[in-house]
Formats: sequence, C-alpha cells, structure tokens
Amino acid sequence: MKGRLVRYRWKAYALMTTLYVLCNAAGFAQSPYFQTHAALDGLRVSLIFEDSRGFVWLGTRDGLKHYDGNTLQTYLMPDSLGAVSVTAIYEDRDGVLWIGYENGSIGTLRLQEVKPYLPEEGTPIVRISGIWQDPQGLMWFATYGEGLYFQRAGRLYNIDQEDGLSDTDIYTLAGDEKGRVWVGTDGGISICWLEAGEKQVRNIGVGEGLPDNIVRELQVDMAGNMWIGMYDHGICVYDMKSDTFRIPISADSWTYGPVSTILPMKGKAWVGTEGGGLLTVGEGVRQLTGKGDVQVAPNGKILDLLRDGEGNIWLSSNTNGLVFAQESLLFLDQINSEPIGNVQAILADRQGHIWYSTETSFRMLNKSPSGALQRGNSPSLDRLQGENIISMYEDAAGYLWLGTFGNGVFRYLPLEGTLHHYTEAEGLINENVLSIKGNGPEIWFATLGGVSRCRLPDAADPGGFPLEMESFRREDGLGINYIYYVHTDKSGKTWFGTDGKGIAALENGQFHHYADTALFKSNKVYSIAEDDQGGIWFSTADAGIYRLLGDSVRYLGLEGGLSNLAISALVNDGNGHMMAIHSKGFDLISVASGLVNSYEETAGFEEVDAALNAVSIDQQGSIWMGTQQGIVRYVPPDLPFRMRPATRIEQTLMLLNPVPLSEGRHFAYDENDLTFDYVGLWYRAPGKVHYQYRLSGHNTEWITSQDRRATYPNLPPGEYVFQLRATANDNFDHAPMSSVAFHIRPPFWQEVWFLLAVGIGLLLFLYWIIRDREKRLEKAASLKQQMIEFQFDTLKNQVNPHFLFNSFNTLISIIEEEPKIAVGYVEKLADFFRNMLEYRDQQLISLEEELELLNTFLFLQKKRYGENLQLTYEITAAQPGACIPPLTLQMLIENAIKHNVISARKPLLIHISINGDSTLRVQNNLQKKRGVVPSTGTGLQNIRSRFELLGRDTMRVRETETEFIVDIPLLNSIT
Amino acid sequence: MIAILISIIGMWSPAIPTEAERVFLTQSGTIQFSSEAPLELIEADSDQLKGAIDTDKRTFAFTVEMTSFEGFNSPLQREHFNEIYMESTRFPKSKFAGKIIEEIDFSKPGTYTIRAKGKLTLHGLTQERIIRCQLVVAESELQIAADFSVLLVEHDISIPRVVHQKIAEEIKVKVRAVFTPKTGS
Repeated sequence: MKGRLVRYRWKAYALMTTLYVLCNAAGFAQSPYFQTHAALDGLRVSLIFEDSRGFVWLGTRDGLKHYDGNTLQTYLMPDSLGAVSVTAIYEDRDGVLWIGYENGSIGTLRLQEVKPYLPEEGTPIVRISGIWQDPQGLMWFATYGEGLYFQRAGRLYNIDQEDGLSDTDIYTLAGDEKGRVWVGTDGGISICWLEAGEKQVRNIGVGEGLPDNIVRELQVDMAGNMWIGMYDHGICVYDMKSDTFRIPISADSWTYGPVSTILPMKGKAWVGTEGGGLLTVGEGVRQLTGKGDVQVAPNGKILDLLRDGEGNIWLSSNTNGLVFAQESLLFLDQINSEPIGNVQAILADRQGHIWYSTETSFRMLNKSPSGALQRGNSPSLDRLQGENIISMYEDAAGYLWLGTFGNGVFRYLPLEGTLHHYTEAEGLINENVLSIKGNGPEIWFATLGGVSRCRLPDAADPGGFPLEMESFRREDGLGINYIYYVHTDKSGKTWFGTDGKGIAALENGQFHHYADTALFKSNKVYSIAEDDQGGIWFSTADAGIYRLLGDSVRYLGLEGGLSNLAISALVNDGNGHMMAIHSKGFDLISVASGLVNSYEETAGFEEVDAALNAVSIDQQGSIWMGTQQGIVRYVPPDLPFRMRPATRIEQTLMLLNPVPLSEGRHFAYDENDLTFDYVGLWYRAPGKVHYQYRLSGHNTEWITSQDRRATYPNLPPGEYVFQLRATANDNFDHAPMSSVAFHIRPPFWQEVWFLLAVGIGLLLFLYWIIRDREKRLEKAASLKQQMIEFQFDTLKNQVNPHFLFNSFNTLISIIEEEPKIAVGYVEKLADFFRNMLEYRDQQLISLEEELELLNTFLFLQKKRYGENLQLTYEITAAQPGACIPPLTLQMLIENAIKHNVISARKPLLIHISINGDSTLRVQNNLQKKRGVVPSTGTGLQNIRSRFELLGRDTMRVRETETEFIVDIPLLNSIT
Repeated sequence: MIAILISIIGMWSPAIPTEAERVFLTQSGTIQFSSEAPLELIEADSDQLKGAIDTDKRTFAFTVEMTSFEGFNSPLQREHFNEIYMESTRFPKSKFAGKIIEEIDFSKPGTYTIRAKGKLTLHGLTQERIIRCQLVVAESELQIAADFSVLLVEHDISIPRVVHQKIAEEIKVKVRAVFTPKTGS
C-alpha cells in the first residue's frame, strides 16, 4: 500500500498524561453517572449488541441473553455441548441475529430459537471473532485461528495466509463503506474483498505507517473513517479519503494497555482498554471513572461498549459487570480537591473558560490539553471573592458583567484584570442584580428595584467608564419593581419576567404585559428563553411553562409530560429542544413534537435545587448547569436519540401457550383466550414506563397499566386490533403505537361455507337416492327380462323336438319290455316338466332343489346314454343356505351333452364339486363333436347374465386341452 | 511447525542440513522466578531452559523441567513447590511456544524489542500470552531477555490460606538465553 503517513506527535500528551494521572489522584474528573439494574447484577458480559428493534442482546459465557430492561432471557443452541460462550453477535439486513461461539459454532436466531448454521463444509473449530454482511449480502466470518470465511451461494470459502492474509488469528472485523472487510491480526490489518469473484487481500502493517502490528479493535466512525485499537500503541485513525493514518495519541505516551473496544462518536471516541479502564479519546485522552457508587476502575479491563438508541452508553467490564450511563451528561463535583457546591451562577465564555460563583467564591475553570477541566487563575480574580455573584453575562467585547446580591455590578476583563464597579451611585436602579442580558452594545440589568439599561459608547473602546444608565420602574410601565429575568429577543424586543405581573415586553419604548390571570396559572416568571422559531418560552414559579408565538399560547404542565412544575431556568439547547431545569434535574422538551424527556435521579442527579438561571451554553453547544452538588455538563448528542419508550409486543399467548402472531392471523372460534406480553423499551428508567392498551373491536377506551401483560379471555368471533402505547411521563399524546391485528373466526357451523356445503350435501344425497332407486328399478326390469328370455330358452330347449324325440324313442324301447320301468320313466318326465314349471319363476332355488331337478334330468338322459354318460358329485360341504339360479346346472349338463361325443369308447364324464365354500365347479372331459352342433354360446351367456343381474360374482369358464370347466358362485340366500 | 520445534528440543537429533541455517537452539538458558509476598521473598532458578527459534518462520518454543528449579529458602520449600503447587510429577514440564510478531531481520546484528505470542503451559493449564522481550542479534548467536509475570489463578495454582502472606499471586519471571545455530552433526 502506498499510503502517505502523517504523524502528529504531540509531545504535550506525555506531560498531559502525567498531569492527568496526578489530577485524578487528587480526585477530580468530569464523570458520567453509571447505573445498573438489579436484573443485571453479577452478570459478566463480553458483548453488548442492540438490534434494529431496540432490544439489547448480551453475549456471555453462558449463552446469548436478551434484555428488555426488566428481565433477562437466555437463548442456547439446542443440544450443543460447547457452543455456549458467545464471542460474536450480528444482525443481518433481514433482521436475523447471527451468533458466533468460542468453539467455532455459528447459530442464527429465528422465531425465538437458536438454530445451528451448518454449512456443508463444516463450521470452524476455533473462536468466531466477528460476523458481517457485505452490501452484496455475503456473510463474512472472522475466526481466531483459521482466518476469514465468507459464504457465497451456500458454500463457505476461506481466506488465510495462502491468500495473503496477514495472520489467521483475527481479533476483530469491520466492514467499510466500500463493502470491504477489515480484519485486525498480529500482522496488522488485512483488507479483504472479492473482485469478479476472486479473493483480494491488501495488508497494512508497520511498514505502511501503522504504529503497532497487533490490531485488537476496528470500528468505523460516522465519517466512514476506521478507528484502530492496538495492543501496545493505543489508538489511531485511518482516513479513508486521503488513505493516511492520523495518530492523535503518541505511541510513547500510551499507558493504558491494550485497546479492547472502541465506540466512535463525533470527533472523539470512548475507548475501553485492558489495563487502563475507560477513556475518551478526542482532543486528548481522558480517563473516565464515574460519579457516585459505580466507579470504573482506572486499571480495569473493559470488555465492550455500546451506544443504544436512547443515548445510553453501555459498558461491560471485569470489575463492574454491565452498567450504563447517559452519553450526554458529565458531572463535576470537585476540582483540585475543592468540592463544588451551591453554585449560584455559571458562565461559559467564548475563550472556553467556565466561570462559576457561590455565595462566597468566584472561580474560573479552564481545560488541560487533554480536555479535562482544571482550576484556572486570572488577574484580579482575588478581588471578586466574597462578592456573592448571582448573575453573569459576557458582552461582545469579551467583558464579563457580574451581578451581585446587594453590591451592584462588576465589569471585568479577565485577560487584563480590568475591573469596574457600578452601584446606585453610578446610576444603577438597584444593587441586587438578578439577571443581565445584552444585545449588541445594549446591556440590561434586572434588579429588585426595576430594570436598568446602559449603552456601550464605542465598540472600539468599550471599556469606557462611567456609563450612562437608563432605568425603568413600576411607574414607568413595568408594573412591578421585582424583576427576575431579562431577555432580549432576536426581533429586538426586550422581555422581563416579573414577580407577580407576568411577562412584559418592551418594544419601541412601550411596555406590553402578558398577565392574564385567566390565561396563565401563575404570574411569577422566573426565566425566559427563545426557540429557533422565535417562540418565547417562560417558566413560572410553580405552574409550569408557557410558550408565546404571535397570538398563540401553549402550556406545558404535568399532563404534557413535564416532571416538575417549578422551573428555575430555561435554555434553548441549540438542538431543537428547550431545557427546563428544576429542583430534581431537568426536562428536555422537543420544540417540534412537544415530547418531554426527564433527566432525574436515574440520570445521576442528586440535589439540584438550582439557583435561578444558573445555566450557560458554551461555544461548542454544551450546556453547563450549576447545582447544589456541583456542575453538570450536558453535551447534546451527535446522533438522534429516542425521546420516549419504544413499545414492542414481545409475544402472544393463546391459552397461555406462545403462538406466533403475524399480522392478520386467524384464530379458530375456540382459540379465543389471548394474552399479550409487551414491553416499553426504556433502559434509562424501566420502572417509569407505563402503558396504555386497548383491543379495538372489543373496547374503545385505553386501559392504563404498569403491567406488561394484557389478557382477553373468551373473545367472541370478530376482527380485532391490539394497540399499545407507552410513556415514561404522564403524556401519552403522540406516543407511537404498536399494534397487531387478528381475527377470530366464528365456529364452523355458523360459517357460510359450512351451511352451503351442508345444503349441497343434502341435494347430492337426495339425487343419489333417486338415482339409486332408478337404477334398482332398471336392474329389476332387466332381470325380469332376462328371466323371461331364460325361461323361454329353457322351455325351448326342453321341449325342443330332439329332447322329446329322444325321450319318446327311449320310452318306446322300454315300454314293451319293461312296462313298469316305462311308467316310472314317464313319471320322471312328468316330474321334470312340472319342476321346470315350478322353478322357472324363481330367481334362486336352493342347491338341493337344483340337484334334485338335475337328478330327474339325468335319469332321463341316462336311459338314453347308459354308462356312456357318467356324473359324479363331490358335494360334501354344501352350505345349508347355498342357492343357485334355477336350472343353471341342468343347462350346463345339457350344454356338455350337446357339444361332446358320448359313446362307449368315449364316455362323457361330468364332475360336479364344491370348491371351497362359495363356488360350484362343473367340469367335463372335452371331446367335441366336430362340425355337428354350431355353438351359439347363448346358454353360457344366459347364465352369465343372470349372475350379473343378481349382482354377484361372475361365472368363470375355462377350457383346457382336455377339460371344460365352469365355476359358478354359490349364492347365500334367497333375496 | 511448533510441534517440530518442540521435538527438536526434546530429541536433539541429528539435523537436516538446511535447518541448520535457520534454527537456533539453546540447552542451557536460565529462567528465574520470584514471588514477592508481604512476608516472604522466594526465588528459584533453573539453567536447563531449552529453546529453539526458527528465524525463517519466526516461530519459537521453550521448555523447562519443573524439577530443575533450585534455590528456594529451604529444601522443604522446594519440595512443596514440586509436590503441592506445581505437581511436578503430573505436569513435569512448562512450555511456551508460538510465533514472533515483529518482522525483524535476523541477519542484521542489533538489539530489537520483539513480542512473542504463544501458548504458555504451566501446571497443565494453557494460556495465550504476548510476552515482550529483548532480542540481540549478534555474530552467530541470538540473545534473549524477557521479564514477565504469571498470575497463579490463571494456571489454577491454588495457595492455602495459611501461606497467603508468604506467596505472591503474581510471580515474576526472568528469562535469559543465548541461542546458537543448530550444527549439522
């Protein structure tokens, strides 16, 4: 790399550091106020992460923990021995949380469950030290021991020393704006990216100007520059635009040990170290310890830092566990071992000095090169001690005007020590000067005897003395002589806060009073300030704040969110807010939205009881407040911050079982016992949050509650929207709502589709019944037809001339020789025809009857064929109820006789057997007559049709080389 | 690679000629520790520190037998050291092996401050450490001087409450060693 190296070595730092350490030993520092929550007590946290919804996630040795300000919930990888200690947390752009573990495992959190990420290539077996998603959506994983991995198209690729990576032990990973991955190793920094799919690595090491090869931490700041934390040599910044290092902290003077974490802010950073505690690094290095009970050990090990969306700085250390502080508040309660208290007036001048007074003292503070405050001195300062200064103002020429209680006004030029004193003798209306303000060469004094005004004669020689004073008293139109505050606005009006006569404005020599008792709850006006739209805000002694703009008046009291009605000072924070200081702290009021944020004891305030107007804004925009317990500095945050709790519906329970509730979910009619768990994220003071919720569709009134659960048992079917809003003060107006819509369906028997379906079903059933009946009638008709045909066939057969001719021939041959037998024969013949007539109308007859009929028939045939026709039976297990269509067997036998040769040499053998329970088999040996009898097949077809009409198994016919087999099903009963 | 170095120290085997140019060895480095407790100062040392440095790969390994430490304030103390605190039969050796962070030119004589990053194994427990040391590159030898400290708690060495005042929780360690190139035979 061809980076130019610009090294700023500020030798003064060595001196500063020494000085600082000395001063720290003396016990003064501007400190944030760290607090913690009981739920976090004893928790050792190595990583702090805030997701896009505002929830804080903690990486610990015992797994991933979720913290909502009230409760901690642990998320563990399922069945994962070893994958417990969390070493990396990242949220991708789809809102999926990725978790890296000490043992190389990687997990993703979806639907409240950690699922292992299992690429085909396997996960690393060493610590995951960083996770990042590049603008193309590729996931990058840094490891401590295996180099860098990236995931492309579902596959995991590795970048290690063979690809040019400086070392495989990666401590830290950061992505830059160009979509490149920066990793810090023992060999400096490696910048990795893909170009046309190829791995690219560029290394930055000592040779390129990096002060130290061991890079422990990388963080991108808001300007896109890379902050680099090193093992031995502190901090440096890589300027992306010029490709150069800025090394604000000389390598020689860094005495704080390895850098473990960096939190970049605007122009500075909070830095955690492994041996030097917590630092701010900006124009210098300052160690932060903390005000009050939670002190960050100056030799402690800081594990991680986070700034959340509320503007809290979270800090995890080995000595304090997890604590957090307001990023914007710094407290100064002693300086050079002298406690600061009972501050009456404060002024930040244009030179960057802070002046403050108590009843007996007047002090000046200036900044050491590190930016830490220290006691300063200036000529003639001694002469102002004991003057009971209660108001201060710096004029355009750099003179300080100091109003006293009882001794008039001093005009003081700090650089030269020039001091002028104005009393009633010099024309001042009264010597108790409560407020001083100016507008160009015009200076106003508010006193307990009216107001005075002087005009500086000459800008070139502003130091002229004496000055001509012009005064206004009650009778001059002021209305009252006790004036608490004077303010000159941008339009040239001068405003006066009076003791009982409201607020008065002087314009073009005329006083105008705003003291309508119907309009204002109090006419005792303590403080006046102007917002950026020209609105005049004034605070009253005990009735809140009013804003005047043209003819409109806006009131802000407790119901508007103000935490205290007795406001002692108002100041425009230059950032769109009005600050109202009261006895417990201050409220920050958004001019645009009217939202109010309170900073009270949870922000670190103890006893404020600020004197009237002990507030001043410095050149950098910091606001300095004098309190009973010292000086508080409010630094308006660089980044936007949330001014009210963010509401989140955490989970929905149906009959106390969690159910995922996506927007517009449908529930069944009996899934109507719903519970909503929700939270208002307000980490600064979770206990102050209260909620309003309602279920539109069920009730319209908001229900106010401090619980984090709402239950609705037995909801009737309908459309519902659960709505939730939260506040940390009394004002729910404009509170953003979280809502979730759902639907409970009516029971199915009330649904339109069900009724329709039932109707259609009934119609179908009716149709089916009709169809079935028709079918059965058709079938019966068809059967009848068949029967008639069969009977006709049978009759036709039986009375066919051959049968009769044969029978009569047989009869003739025996009639003479054996008349007795002939009589029997004729009887059988008659039986046969009678039986036929008897059975032909029946659909079924029993097998016995059929066999009897068959015997008669056989008797007749035997007489003709003798032993040439042999019939054998094997009907042993005939079922008692077995039935058969009448004349079936006779027809089959007849068929066999008709088609086969029957002679002494070739007897026809017919065998009838029962096959199993259900079929009757008729088989005969096959010896077909050739060409004599044309086979029409009508006989068999006839039988087959009858069976089909009866709806039973069909008859099966088989013909082999030697046999003809017919299987007919036996039917069970006569139906 | 580090394993190879450890095995070299252990075996002192005939060398592969190409290694001779880049591997430096010592068999008799000194290692001294001191425990500065409020009631007692304990010191002991060993001159049997074995070590190897591969100047090409910038890797190194050191090892010392725990029983080779001598000194102490009494023979009983030495016995306690081996039997109670270090458990020298279970964990006979202490090791430190790893890589050198700084890319220095070993062919150029001079004094360098380097950081050695590696795994320090003591009492069977391994901790990753970065140890700063002075390296003198002289004509055909390397001299190493390192001062560092060891926290007993990091290596699970527990001290009975009775002797709390006599043994420091942080032990100071001093290492001095002269390395010579590994010869071919």
